[in-house]
Amino acid sequence: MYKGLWITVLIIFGIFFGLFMLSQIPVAITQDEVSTAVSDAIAETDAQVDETAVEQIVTQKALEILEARQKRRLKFLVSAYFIIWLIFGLYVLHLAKMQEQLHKRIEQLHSSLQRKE
Amino acid sequence: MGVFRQIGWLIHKDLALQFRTKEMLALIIVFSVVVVLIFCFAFGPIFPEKLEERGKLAASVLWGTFLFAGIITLNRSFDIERANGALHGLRLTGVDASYFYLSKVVSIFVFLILLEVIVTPIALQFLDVLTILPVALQKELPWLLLKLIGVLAIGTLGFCAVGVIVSGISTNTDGTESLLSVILLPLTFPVIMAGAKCTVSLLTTGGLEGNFWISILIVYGLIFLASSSLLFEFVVEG
Amino acid sequence: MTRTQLIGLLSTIFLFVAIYFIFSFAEIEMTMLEVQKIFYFHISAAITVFLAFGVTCIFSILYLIKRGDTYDTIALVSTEIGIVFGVVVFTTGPIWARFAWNTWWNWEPRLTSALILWLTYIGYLILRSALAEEKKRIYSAVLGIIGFLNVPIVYFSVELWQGGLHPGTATKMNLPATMQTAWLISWLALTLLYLFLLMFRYRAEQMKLELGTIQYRQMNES
Repeated sequence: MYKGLWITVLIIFGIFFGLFMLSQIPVAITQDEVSTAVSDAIAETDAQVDETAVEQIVTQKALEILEARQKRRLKFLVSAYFIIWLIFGLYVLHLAKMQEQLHKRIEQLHSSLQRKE
Repeated sequence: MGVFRQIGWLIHKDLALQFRTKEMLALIIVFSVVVVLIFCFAFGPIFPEKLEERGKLAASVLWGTFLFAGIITLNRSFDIERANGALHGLRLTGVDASYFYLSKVVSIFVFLILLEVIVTPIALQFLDVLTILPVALQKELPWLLLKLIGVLAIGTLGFCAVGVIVSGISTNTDGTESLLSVILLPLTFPVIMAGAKCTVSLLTTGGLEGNFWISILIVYGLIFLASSSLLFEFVVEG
Repeated sequence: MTRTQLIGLLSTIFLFVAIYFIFSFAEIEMTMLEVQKIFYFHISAAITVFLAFGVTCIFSILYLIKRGDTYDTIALVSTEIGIVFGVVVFTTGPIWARFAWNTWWNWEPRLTSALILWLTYIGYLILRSALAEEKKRIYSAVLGIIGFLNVPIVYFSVELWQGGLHPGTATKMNLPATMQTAWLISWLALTLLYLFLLMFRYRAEQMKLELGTIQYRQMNES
């Protein structure tokens, strides 16, 4: 029973994080958003620039910033769920271990009692 | 024997025990003053300029000191009961457990109030609160002190109501003193919060801004007096 | 399959369903984005803490009235599990607070009252371990009742102490429907988990009792 619980807790942990990773929200910034922002910016200045090149760079930079922010947020989220799982898992294992030991002890005493009889 | 006579006798017994040796009162007073001094040395010698800040400081010093003094008093009081099996003897006389509880609350309450009446002015002087008070309040200083003692009394009653039953329980263990504080202190957090707020508003305005905090103190006292006097039967029996 | 195992299985299934609902179904909250998803388990665990200690109080009262050792055992077991759920609350709370308010702790009324209650019941467990066998049932029952009586007073005073109603109370009411569903399911999952742990832990306590009787028998025979 004790071994089984170890495995169960580990499997639950695995599935738990699998689901977690699958349901991760992708960082997205649409091309339209970038183009309108870039053309707005260009319209405000007199400088001559290559609009498509700027668009590419802006998209890349925006994605970098957004991804960095998401990384930070996910760090918080993952650590929170990791701790939740850890606490419950350890407690269940502790209980299982306790029961296992009690069970062993009871069996021992029972058999020694029977031998006497 | 009437109810009040029984309770009266029990209170008489407790107070006689507590005041028979003046050492106990002296010890607790010295202890309280030393605790106040510790706060003074930590914060002083120049205390916060603003009246409200200084009021908060005074409130925390007063309530902290009386809480610690209260715990020592409770321990001491139940040590006496336990030492010679006096609690057991008392049960054999057939006195109702709730009378015993009430008498214990009253006797410890009287003891702590005496302590507070002596220590509060000393603490306020050490923390230099009296000179910073508004002029209107300084004119009626005795009245203000009386109100302050009144608030302290209501808080102390609540503290005693919980303290007596918890020390009645913890006196049966080995690590009595530390255990009592660990169990009792979390239970008394509302008293500290409400009492300190009342004290601050008394020191800054001379009144109790809204009656919310004082009613928390009163409700706390009543709830625990009622429930504990019912539950004390089980403590004595166990 | 025993009842305990059944509840255990159910709670595991519900935990998965809850995870699915939290991460796929519930919409993303606009100010805290992904981090807001801590909320579901954090709040549910906090509610379970109050539930667990409430059960302790009720079974303590039942013990004092009826004097069945079962009641006392349930009170003890429920307290212990309440403490474990409390650990979850007080570790996820700071993570949330660190992101939302850039501090590790804030004096939100419900969090504060849960902390005070938690400390009280840690006192309960310490007391139990310090008392002699024949005394501990009655005494801890008395403390179990007194500790819970403190809850409403603590709650009201903490609420006013930190300056009026916290916006948290208002936002919880206006959760979007998808979040509401996800929260309800995770709450149900944690309640089932509580029930499972309660039964699981109770069995260990029963085994201890059994062990005691066997040892007693052995002592008498030898």
